[in-house]
Amino acid sequence: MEPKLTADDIRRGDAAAGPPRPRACDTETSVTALYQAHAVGLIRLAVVMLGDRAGAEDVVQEAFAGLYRRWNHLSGPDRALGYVRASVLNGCRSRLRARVRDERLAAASPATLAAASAEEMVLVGEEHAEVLAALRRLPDRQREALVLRYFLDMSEPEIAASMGIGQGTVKSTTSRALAALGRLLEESR
Amino acid sequence: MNTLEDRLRAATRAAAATVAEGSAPPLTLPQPGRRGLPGRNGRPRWIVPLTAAAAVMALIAASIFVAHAAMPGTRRPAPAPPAAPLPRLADGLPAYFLESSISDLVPGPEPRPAGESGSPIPVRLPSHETLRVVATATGKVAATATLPGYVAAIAASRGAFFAAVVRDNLARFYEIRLNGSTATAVSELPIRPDTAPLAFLAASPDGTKLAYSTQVVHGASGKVQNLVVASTARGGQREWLTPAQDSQGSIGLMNWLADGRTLAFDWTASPETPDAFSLRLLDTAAPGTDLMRGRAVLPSVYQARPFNEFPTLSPNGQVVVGTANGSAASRAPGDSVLAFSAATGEETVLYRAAPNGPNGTGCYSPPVWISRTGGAVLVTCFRGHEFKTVPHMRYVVNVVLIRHGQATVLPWLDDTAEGVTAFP
Repeated sequence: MEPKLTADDIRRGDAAAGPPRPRACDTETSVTALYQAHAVGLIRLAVVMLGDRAGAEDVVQEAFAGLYRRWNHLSGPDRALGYVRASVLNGCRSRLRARVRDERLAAASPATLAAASAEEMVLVGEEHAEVLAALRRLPDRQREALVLRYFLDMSEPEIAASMGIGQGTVKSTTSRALAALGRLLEESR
Repeated sequence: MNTLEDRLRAATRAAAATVAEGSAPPLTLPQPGRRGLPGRNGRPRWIVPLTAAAAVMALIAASIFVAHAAMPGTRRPAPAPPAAPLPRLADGLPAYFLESSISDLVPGPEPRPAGESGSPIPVRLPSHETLRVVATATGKVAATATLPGYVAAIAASRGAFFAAVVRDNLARFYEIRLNGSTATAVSELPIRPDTAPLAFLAASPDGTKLAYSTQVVHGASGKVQNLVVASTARGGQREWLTPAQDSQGSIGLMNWLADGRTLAFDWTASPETPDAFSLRLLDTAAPGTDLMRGRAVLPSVYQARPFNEFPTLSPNGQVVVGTANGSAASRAPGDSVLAFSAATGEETVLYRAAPNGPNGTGCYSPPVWISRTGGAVLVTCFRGHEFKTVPHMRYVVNVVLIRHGQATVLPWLDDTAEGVTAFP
């Protein structure tokens, strides 16, 4: 049975949760084992970011394929989960940007977004769908900071390390993001 | 459900719950000899031609070569003479400042295995970054400096700029001098490279010392190494340790006072208790290695006032300046920039951000520059704008000079407002 994975498991990514250090020929086995242990949690993270299950699965697959190629270049297999988590966030960001660009080109954003939120409303309920829709309207960095803070429950130093920014920037980004989120929710009422 | 944070937590968990346990599809790994995964439509999603990859590698290698070529000798063989003070504008503002854009998200890092200390430096970082020396009066880039790695932090003294650069999991320190008004000279400082993730960097006013803090949080001895002060001329350094009882705390922004020996730093008692802030002073010339040996400035003000960001102490040590959130608690339309007397705690409102309807406005950043007496400060403030083509919030961020009770927007500096800046 697949181990139950919580947001906390993804957040911690501790050495105990990762695979043992493999021999070179064990790379496929190790990456597959890591996938089996963490795929659901990472797909959940991507679903939160994207609101799209199929896109989330693609992003996670791509992240693990990237991990497979870079396995021998990691300074330690225990860092694999951090690498793949950041890759998932990068992948989500790219997809959201591509989605915005495509919608702009097709001038079809209202219909597409309405369809996406209608599907999500059925799945998670109106109240949550509103919050998620507002979350996805935030700038990339703000959205990521909020997801790391309030979904993965990461501390400010952890977010700073994951996003490659200073703690002061984490604090200001999170504050701005919360303020903007509140205003977007007020507007939608 | 009471707070926005609660709603956010509940919504993200509800979205996550739509992915059932055991519902992940099988993993498809790249086949030997192929670089891409088949996409849902069966076509390779991201095949990168080897020639293109080789071209990119050659470009990066050339850039590194150029970066090194721009730094003759890179490691300075002998202490250089002190840099001449950089010019100032008529109103006291520094004529130049250093600006670095915020680097993109990079994979990693992951906490080190048990038994090691702290988090490692991220494993995949840019091979080089270019910093810009910007003219304050015009916003134009006067000169650039290319550094051979990821720029983790920057700082400025009266005469030179400094950068901590991470490459091969080591942080090295560089001095950037402005040659004339259009060129820079970059040299690596003889400071021992550090393996710990850097947090903040501050240069003493005369540029002879660099202070940097690290994010090391657990040490085998029960103490943690959080602060290093190193000589920029010879590399000699001192370390200050955080006592075990304070090991969950962390250092925030730092700045040197005008005496060149006292370091002011913001201290958060625990990462999980964001209200437990204090501004502390450390005499770096006094004996001892206890980071908490100094004293806190205005603890009552910190406890009473929810600052948006770390406040800053003026170089003469007499005025604390910070931005306070006006909207979260009181629904006031904008944030405030406040000054406090370090001696008495007396509060002065330097600036209130103007209302901007539902999209909001505010001044969330710490002051990016503060004059010697605290009478003039530069802060960044934002105004929200709805991006109509697609539902997206954008912000216009301004640099605002506050002096003699007057706030002046410096629109020519807008492009630098969301980057990281270091003002002398």
